[in-house]
Amino acid sequence: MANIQQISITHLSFTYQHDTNTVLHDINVSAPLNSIIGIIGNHNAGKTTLCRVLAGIIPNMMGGDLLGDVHIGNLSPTKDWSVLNRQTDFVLQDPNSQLSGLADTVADEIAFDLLNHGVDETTIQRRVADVAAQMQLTAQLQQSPSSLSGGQLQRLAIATAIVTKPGILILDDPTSEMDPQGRADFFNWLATIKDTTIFIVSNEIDDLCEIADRLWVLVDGELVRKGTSLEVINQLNPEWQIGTPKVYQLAKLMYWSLGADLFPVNINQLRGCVHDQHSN
Amino acid sequence: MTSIQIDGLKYQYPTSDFKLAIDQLTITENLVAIAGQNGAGKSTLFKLLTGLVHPQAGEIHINHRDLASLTPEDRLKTIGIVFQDPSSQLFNATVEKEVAWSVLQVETDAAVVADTVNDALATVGLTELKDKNPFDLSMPEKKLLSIATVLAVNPQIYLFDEPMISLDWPSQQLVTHLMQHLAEEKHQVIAITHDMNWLAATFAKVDVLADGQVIFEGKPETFFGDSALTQKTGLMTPRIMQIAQEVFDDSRVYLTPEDYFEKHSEKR
Amino acid sequence: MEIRDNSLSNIAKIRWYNLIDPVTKLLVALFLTMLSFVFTNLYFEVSLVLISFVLLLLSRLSSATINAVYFCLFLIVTMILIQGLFYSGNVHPLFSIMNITFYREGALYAVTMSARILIIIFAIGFFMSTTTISENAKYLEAIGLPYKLVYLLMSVCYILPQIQQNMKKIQFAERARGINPQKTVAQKVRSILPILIPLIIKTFDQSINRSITLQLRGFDSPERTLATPKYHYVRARFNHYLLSFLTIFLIGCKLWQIFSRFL
Ligand SMILES: Nc1ncnc2c1ncn2[C@@H]1O[C@H](COP(=O)(O)OP(=O)(O)OP(=O)(O)O)[C@@H](O)[C@H]1O
Ligand SMILES: [Mg+2]
Repeated sequence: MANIQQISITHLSFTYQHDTNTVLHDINVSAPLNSIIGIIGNHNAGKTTLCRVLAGIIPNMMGGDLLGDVHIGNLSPTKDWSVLNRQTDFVLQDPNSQLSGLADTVADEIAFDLLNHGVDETTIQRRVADVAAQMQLTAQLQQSPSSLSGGQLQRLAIATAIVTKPGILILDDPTSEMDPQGRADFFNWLATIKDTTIFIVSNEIDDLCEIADRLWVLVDGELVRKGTSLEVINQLNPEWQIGTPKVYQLAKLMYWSLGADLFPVNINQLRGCVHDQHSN
Repeated sequence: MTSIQIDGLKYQYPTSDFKLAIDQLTITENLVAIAGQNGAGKSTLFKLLTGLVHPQAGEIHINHRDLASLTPEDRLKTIGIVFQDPSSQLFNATVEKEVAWSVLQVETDAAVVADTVNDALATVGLTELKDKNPFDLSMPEKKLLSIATVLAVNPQIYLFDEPMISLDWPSQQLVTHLMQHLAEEKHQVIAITHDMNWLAATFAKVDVLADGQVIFEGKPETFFGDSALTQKTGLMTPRIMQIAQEVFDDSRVYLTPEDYFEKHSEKR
Repeated sequence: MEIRDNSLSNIAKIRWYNLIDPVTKLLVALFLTMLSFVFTNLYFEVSLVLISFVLLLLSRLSSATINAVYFCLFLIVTMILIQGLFYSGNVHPLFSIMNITFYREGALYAVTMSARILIIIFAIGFFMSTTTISENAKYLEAIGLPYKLVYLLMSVCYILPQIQQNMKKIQFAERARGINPQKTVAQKVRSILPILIPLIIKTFDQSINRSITLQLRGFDSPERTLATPKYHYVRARFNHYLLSFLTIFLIGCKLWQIFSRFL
């Protein structure tokens, strides 16, 4: 029986239809609900595919050979998709694909999800205004989504997902085109929201190490490392060619270790470790 | 030596309030970064530099020739652009044809075309995917492919609009080395980026845009050293400077962890 | 509708055609078409063509409509030629050039047909260029169509504009990457042919992605709130009844014309 407080993936394997190579290989992992899970890995490692499985796009809308079992709390994306989908929002890697195509303005595009959730008009007004302000799109509310700059479009994609305050948020590389301040604000905001399970694929390893409770590392469809960012980053195999956070690079250069060849990966850990060295 | 000279440039889209206005901007360095907030007008500037949209006022001179007076062939060999959104740059049936289409604009000899295509694909590491449909590629692969289409023409000036988007670490290294190599070979390479760490580590010159205007031209060290300016333009300092600030209350300029290491090991 | 619609007037001024609801526009198109089928008098047809043409001119002309009109003109010219020469009822010669005789009956027949085609194209063009996808979708939903059906209708109706938008993007890319010697028609055709299949694949791909996105975003959820239509339409219900009545009446007339021949 599935544990209500856990995300659990057991023996998950997947091969796309009309394709021979397995994209995900026997993945086994679990994590507590309402935590932030960072998913990292190189091209074609299977990050987007894993997101699709978690969101139930696979197998509900995309076919293939799916083995194993996935549970988010007591719901399974395979069996309870429509219930799960109502609590889940997904930011796709390509913001262009996120648009409904049925809205003439940015404001309408953001309101679309709220309409679908049966929210009343006054609440819609308020939520749209709030989220637009949060994502700095207020000046663009009346513009057509197709005339936005790349980064603005990405902000819109995020806005459409977070506007409904979902319980599960799946983010596939959501900040790749955002400016530094916008990216920092977004990651800081992610760290503050409660009662939400967040899966986030990103190349922003520095930000992930600051906010993620868990990191999962995918290499060629296999989950090769899982754990806290401290454990995972310290155990990366150089052959995987995965970038490391600047804190870790600096600590290694300066040899500021937490003992036992363990180097800090975020600012807090670095602070602690430098403090210890001084007191010694 | 290539040069770009912009005078009294004004541009506005018919359907938005945004205004781009650049009084004067000269770019002569080989490796230049352009930074600025979302919607600051960076991509618009690139479209103007390639003649894809026409300014309402002002002039652009490339190598002392008016951009508007260049023949299409000349323009193609002078300046090439990699779009921010790779999907809108690609329109052929296979990866190989995609690159060949570009080469065929400037070259007719079939053997030369085939060689150039193979070289370009090999450079970005897409040789194995050459028979795939570009629309089936992943985002980063599309980005690499659109880079290959410009490499194949080999213009004097390369414009890269956010080349690092969604690239993984090895591909980022590849593209960085490629750009450095091009710059060494006397090409001019101009890249838009939001990655301050990469900017600090790779570029010696940066132009910063805010609300359609050029706010800063010069060395990244100077820019990052002026915290009021960095704030005002909505950008941030490189991660290493944030670390130094937050952990050691040290607000000096560092570009990379290595830079920090060197500056601090001298003292010991 | 504060943030979402009030400031709309800053962006797009409300034009007269925004006061007419999409269904009325569609009914007008249908009505004009039926008129042209029931009354075959040539002068009447020509005036109908003029009326629909004026409608089109008063709206926002899009390049899509202009292209469609060009294409039809091309069809019409060939049709007039062929019918003028080979129509089965040809009796009275109109003129002849070098032993080739051009007949009156064929020409007349073809002209009537072309008038009808033009009326349809102009009226549909008026509809397409004055309503956006979202306006249509909202209105249809507001008058009680299930959203799923609305979406299906919209994706079918707007596949052509979608293709056209992609085409524009590709042409933009071609301008960025190529030298574009597209001056003659032959060069234009040659530049379009190789991208035709990728274009269709791309559009198809987008529709699949779109349908996934819409499902993820919960568009078919049962608790959906009705969208409020974008404009306040004038006498929508009255127009519908009137136009439906007139159109049905005309259909009746046409059927009567057909049957009475057999009586
Ligand atoms: N085709 C268009 N029509 C109307 N407005 C546009 C169009 N393209 C861009 N804009 C507007 O012009 C402004 C500048 O856009 P631009 O694409 O140059 O920004 P950018 O600096 O490249 O931003 P980003 O970092 O997000 O890519 C934005 O406010 C945008 O909304
Ligand atoms: Mg841009």
